[in-house]
Amino acid sequence: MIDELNYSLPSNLNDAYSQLQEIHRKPLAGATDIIPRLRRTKLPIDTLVDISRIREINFIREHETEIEIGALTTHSEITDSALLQSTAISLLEASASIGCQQTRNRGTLGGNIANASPAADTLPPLLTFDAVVHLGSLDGTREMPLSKFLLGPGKTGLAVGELIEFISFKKLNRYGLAYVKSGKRNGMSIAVASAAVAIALDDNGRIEDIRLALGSVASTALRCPRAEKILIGKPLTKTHFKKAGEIVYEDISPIDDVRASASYRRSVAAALVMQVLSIAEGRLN
Amino acid sequence: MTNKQMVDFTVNGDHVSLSVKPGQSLAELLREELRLTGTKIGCSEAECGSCTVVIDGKPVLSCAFPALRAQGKNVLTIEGLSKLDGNGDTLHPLQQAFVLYGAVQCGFCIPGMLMTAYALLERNPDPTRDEVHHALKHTFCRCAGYPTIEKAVLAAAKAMRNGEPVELPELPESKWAEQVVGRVHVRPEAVAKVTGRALFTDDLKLEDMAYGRAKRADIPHAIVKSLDVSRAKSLPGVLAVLTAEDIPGDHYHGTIIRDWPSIVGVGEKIRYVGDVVALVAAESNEIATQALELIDVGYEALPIVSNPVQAHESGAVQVHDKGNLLKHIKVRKGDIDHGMEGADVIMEHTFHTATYDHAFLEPECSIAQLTLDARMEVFVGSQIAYEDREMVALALGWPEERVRVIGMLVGGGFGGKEDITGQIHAALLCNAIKRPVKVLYDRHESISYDVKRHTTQIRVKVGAKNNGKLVAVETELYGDTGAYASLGEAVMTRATTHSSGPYEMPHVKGDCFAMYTNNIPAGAYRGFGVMQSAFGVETMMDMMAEELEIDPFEIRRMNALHVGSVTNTGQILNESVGLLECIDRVEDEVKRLAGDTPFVSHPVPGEPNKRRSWGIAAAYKNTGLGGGVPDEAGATVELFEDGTVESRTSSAEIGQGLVTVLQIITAEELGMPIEKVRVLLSDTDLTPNGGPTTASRQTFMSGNAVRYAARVLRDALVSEVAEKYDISPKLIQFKDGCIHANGHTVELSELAQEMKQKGLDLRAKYLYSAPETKPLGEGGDMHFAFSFAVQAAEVEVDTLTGEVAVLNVIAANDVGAAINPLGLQVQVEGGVVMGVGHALTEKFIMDEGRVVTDRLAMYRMPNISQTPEITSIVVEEKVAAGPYGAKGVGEVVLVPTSPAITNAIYNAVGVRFFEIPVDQEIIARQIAAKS
Ligand SMILES: Cc1cc2nc3c(=O)[nH]c(=O)nc-3n(C[C@H](O)[C@H](O)[C@H](O)COP(=O)(O)OP(=O)(O)OC[C@H]3O[C@@H](n4cnc5c(N)ncnc54)[C@H](O)[C@@H]3O)c2cc1C
Ligand code: FES
Ligand code: FES
Repeated sequence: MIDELNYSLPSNLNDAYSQLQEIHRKPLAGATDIIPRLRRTKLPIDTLVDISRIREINFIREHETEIEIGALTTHSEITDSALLQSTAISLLEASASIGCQQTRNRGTLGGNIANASPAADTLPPLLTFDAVVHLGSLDGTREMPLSKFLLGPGKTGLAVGELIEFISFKKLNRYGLAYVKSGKRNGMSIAVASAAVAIALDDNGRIEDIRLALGSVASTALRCPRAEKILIGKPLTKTHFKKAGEIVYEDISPIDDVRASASYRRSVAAALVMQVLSIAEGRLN
Repeated sequence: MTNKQMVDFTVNGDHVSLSVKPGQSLAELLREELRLTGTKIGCSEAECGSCTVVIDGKPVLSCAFPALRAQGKNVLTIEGLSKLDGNGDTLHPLQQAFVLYGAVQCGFCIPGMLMTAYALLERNPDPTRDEVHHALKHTFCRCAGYPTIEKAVLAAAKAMRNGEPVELPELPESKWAEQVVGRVHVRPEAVAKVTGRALFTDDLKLEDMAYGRAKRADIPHAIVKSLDVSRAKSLPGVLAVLTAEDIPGDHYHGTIIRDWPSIVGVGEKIRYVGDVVALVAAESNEIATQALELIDVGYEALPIVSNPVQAHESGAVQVHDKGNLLKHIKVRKGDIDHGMEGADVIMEHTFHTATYDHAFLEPECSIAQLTLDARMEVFVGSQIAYEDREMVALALGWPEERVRVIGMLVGGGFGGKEDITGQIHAALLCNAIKRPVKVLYDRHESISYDVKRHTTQIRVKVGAKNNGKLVAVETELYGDTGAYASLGEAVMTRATTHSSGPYEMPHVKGDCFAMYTNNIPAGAYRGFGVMQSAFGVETMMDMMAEELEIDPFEIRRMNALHVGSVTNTGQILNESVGLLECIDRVEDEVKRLAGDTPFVSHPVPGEPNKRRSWGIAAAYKNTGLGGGVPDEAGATVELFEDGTVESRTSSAEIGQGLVTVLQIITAEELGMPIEKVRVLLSDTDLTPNGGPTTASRQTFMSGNAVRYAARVLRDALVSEVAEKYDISPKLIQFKDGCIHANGHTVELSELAQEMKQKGLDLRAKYLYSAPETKPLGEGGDMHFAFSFAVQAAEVEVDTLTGEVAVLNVIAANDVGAAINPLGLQVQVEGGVVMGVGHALTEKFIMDEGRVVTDRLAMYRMPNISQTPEITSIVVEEKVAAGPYGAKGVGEVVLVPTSPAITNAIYNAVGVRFFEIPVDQEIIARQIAAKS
């Protein structure tokens, strides 16, 4: 039960790492996800290590070619960041779409990633950035592409004693970026489907690079390689957008649940792909 | 890492230092340790926003914020909001605006709402409407006066920017306005509600109080084979574990039929997942919760019946020994076969409505305590205090006089606080351990086990002439009343008698089967069955209009009930039928906004996938119990020597504004300032029985009781003054708290003192009996008044995803007379918003008798950003017997909303709905199939 948990509030990474050495000890960041969950169900946790006061991993940094965002950065901080506004608008849109003001003020990027919910909003845009997850522990640091880090609902490549320290991605200066989600329905609070895209054109106005990612249509957020491939070298036309939507419709295999049938999820995803592509198109240059 | 830890922080400017348990939330710490109970807990799942406090300038959900994390922070709660300018009782402009604009209804969400709004204005002193929506989007108000809340926030922002007082709202007064009646008055209890001082049951913490919880079956149909509570009993901190054998009195309760066991015993039957097999009292809620898991129950599972139509089939699984049929309700008028033969067009369809949760934000809570003279006091926010008293006394096996029910504020009722919830359990536990016991439902318990709205299947067959005149209607309804009767019979009777709509109909045949199933019991819920049947008949009206190529307004107008019409139960309507005016005025307003072809589908500029259109629906709804049930309400009005007056009746303020209404009526009758009137409600020792707060009856019933009681008092005062000055009573006038008699002026206080000295009683009592009604089937007046409503809704439909947004609702309501215009405005807004939820997003889902939507996160009630622009049109066709002509309004406001929306969806994209809530998948699929 929640009342029997131990709690600690380390102020630096090293203390946190030494307190996280056992499997039943869990980091707590914004606590927006884990506290309500603990109240509902029994989780195999005996200690909460509250990492919210570790300054070292709360930052948004710009390097020459890269952006780095600390795991403790809250969704509100992302939404308010002028830097991300100009370099990662789709991530900003994803963070802004999360829950309520109160949740955005506390919920962190690291928590959203570590949760690895199929519906986690920041994951599709981060996947289109080819983001890298930087992990730390008493043994040092390691890094992993986000696409490899996500293993399934609630499952990640995080080892015992490890924390996400930050994520990084290459600046996408020439790209048009966008994120959309859809469909709050009865019996649910999360999206039926979501889509993010990053798109760049060559000198002839044809698609040179495109990265398309979807949320809520599979056990984790995922990229859509076949649709991407089809679009490379093509001009930006409604016909091609529609084609991409059709491929997505065929390729994904979402599940039926209380919230939506699989076929509905597929058609919404296809509609969102068309929508997100045309928004991103409008943002090129 | 020790278990308990210290935390130091600042609350409302005061430094506090406390030891807390690690998992404890800030909300619990504030409420339980610091006794700052203004911060409310509506869900404890980070979903409702009621617990919002401001930490270092930011709004935070304190139920999901570990208390330890407050270390070194600055916490501002609702109790600190009025203190901010250093001047104790000065309200913050937001608080002032919420009071003045009438944004406060039941008040439960208000502290969280205010704190969220406060954080917004600190960050953004000049927010746009969209920014207000964005910030308040996840702070829910089920009373849902969202448009008024928005206006109040904007008014407060303006006042703060300009350093000026909050501007007063502009609101039309009643066309029948008198001195006090029909004018804009703020709620007397609003200040307590905006400052966090208002007490709901869970805000009480009695000395030596224990905590009670119920062990639920969590199996829908079974025989209890064995029950072992020994492990639970031996858990340290457990004070008692009760089973059915421990009930001293009656084992069953129920509002109409007593068929609902308070605890199910070994060898007895479980009929739904929420049935209780044992009760636990413990030193803390946590220990009680742990103890529940140590109770071992053996069941023999039985097959279940989970659908009312199947329940009616022969060979169906039987829920009760007497069978599954709770009641077959029949409405007959004319000759249905003859009627149908005379029709040029006959249409027939079957409709389904979902189960809905009341989703009031205050979870059910009862506290029972024994007094020194061995009486049981039960504190509870209930809609029917006297009935609670009866049920508690029966369960204890005591005479009723030994039980006192003390009504607390009700944090939203909507019908859901009519049935017994924890009252009996708290009293049984209290009696067993001789200590006060609190039984508080958590949100999971409230949503999973407490009564719901009846799910219905409704077949409607309508016959009409080519000119649009309706000639016959045949309806067949199935209502799922779940495992126990609750108010099922009454609800489904109302559904049936209203199932042919507010229309003149020569030939009617209605049959309803109210069925028991193994689903969650269904009871009273705003609209009381009429909401369900209106969806069927109003959809049919539009389909008939289309078939006959008649305008939707016109077909309703030509068939509308009017003075002189005979209803389908044979009642002649002699007065107060404002339906035609509602139709006309809604039509004018729609055409003003949308031009002459509102029902045509319009594209949305710049949004190729979206279509818009309007739809309408009409409705009526009875006021009062009717159907031959004697309907009475008692009231006492007492004058005090300081010149104040107290009006007392046992009826509930559930957010609808009853306190204000009774205050207004008292002040009007005694010609005194409204501030000098107090209202005391729902205390079975102190207030006479006002009857149940249901059927939109309290303004009419308690309103009349108070009005006549005030007149009795007035007469006594008049004769005293007449004698004193030896003048004719006719020359005596009451004004501004004084009595004017032919040049003499006596203050009420003066007169009270004189009369008191003479030993005269300054209390007047009155028992008001409503005009007699007749039972269904006997013809005559089945109800003493009806309210009428017409609504038009404009929707925008996304043709790719099927998403629907309601942009505009125009709502005309014939309320008789608008005694309390400020309260009426928010009732209309709240009803419309609830209707939007019922039409589009809300759905309580059960699967084979088990609850799927068992958290608030899964039950999508509308938030401020899903709220349409709402235009309220008040129609006032007085009813002679009503106080100043008023009749009920609380329910009819919600009835036409769903069909107006589904009709609008059809007009926008051509997809017809026979089921609510609307499934956007169906819209997307049907549109895709067409193109
Ligand atoms: C009302 C409400 C609405 C919500 N709506 C949305 C929504 O629309 N979209 C959405 O995506 N999410 C939503 N969420 C979920 C949640 O708020 C977000 O996922 C948030 O980003 C989680 O972050 P946190 O810091 O609060 O996580 P926490 O609750 O603190 O932790 C979540 C998990 O991540 C782990 N963790 C946290 N930080 C780290 C780290 N640095 N390294 C390793 N592990 C870590 C924790 O151990 C835990 O298992 C909602 C939640 C609520 C309560
Ligand atoms: S009580 Fe905290 S959000 Fe509902
Ligand atoms: S006033 Fe908001 S929930 Fe009742």
